[in-house]
Amino acid sequence: MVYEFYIFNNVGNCLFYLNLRGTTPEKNPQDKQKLIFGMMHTMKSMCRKFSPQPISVSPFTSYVTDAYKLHILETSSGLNFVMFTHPDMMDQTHSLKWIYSTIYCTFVIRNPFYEPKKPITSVVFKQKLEEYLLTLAR
Amino acid sequence: MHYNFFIVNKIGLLIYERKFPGCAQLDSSDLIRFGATLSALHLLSAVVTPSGLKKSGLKIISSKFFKLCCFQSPTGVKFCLVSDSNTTDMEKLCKKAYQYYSDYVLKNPFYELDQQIRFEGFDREIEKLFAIKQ
Repeated sequence: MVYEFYIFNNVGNCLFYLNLRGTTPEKNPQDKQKLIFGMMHTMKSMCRKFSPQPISVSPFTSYVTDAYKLHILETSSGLNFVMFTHPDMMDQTHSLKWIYSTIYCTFVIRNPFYEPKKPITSVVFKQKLEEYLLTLAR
Repeated sequence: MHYNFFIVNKIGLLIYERKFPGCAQLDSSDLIRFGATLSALHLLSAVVTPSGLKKSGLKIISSKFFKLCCFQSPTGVKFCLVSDSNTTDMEKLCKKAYQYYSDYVLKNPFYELDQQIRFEGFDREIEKLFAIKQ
């Protein structure tokens, strides 16, 4: 069960935010988004330090708490796909890769009206993404 | 296979660390920085909880090459174990280490709270605990 979905670029701007829980929206989502990005950045550099072998791409994939599980996929262009789900959910790297390669590429990159580094406003993208995320079970 | 074991006190200072064969090369300043970073990440992960859910700090960080399990005691002391990705029941090991901490460290009359842990008895028990599971 997916709770929230974010897309950040490499600088830290939140390009997209989707809340699937139906709870009341927060007063200041930008603060939380900045916190999430800062935390991801720190986590990635910490994981890089701890890897027994030296690697170039960030290996950090997810973390679990009692209340939620956070999955992240970092692409080679610096995009970060962040997903908050139920804590029992299995590793979702494959579904994040699918979202990037199919839904994002088709409805955002190939959209001639999309300006890079600006927030994503495509309604079709939001619809397709929501449809896909609702099908994700355990 | 286990790589590292740490104990971080409630203000983020590293009070105990143990390296096992195969771990990444980290010097002492890296480790001190790690203690503070982990405390901050633990707090932040509670803050960014999706609205409506009970706030809780992070327990396990998964990566392609390792898994880090962080068990926080009710007093705020964090027991962190870094192992390879296939290890299960890491939280049980951390809880056992917490038990040894309360037996060999806290009950030691010469130990000052929140200071570095330098006791042979505790070292021995930790060595035994993580050697058996390997």
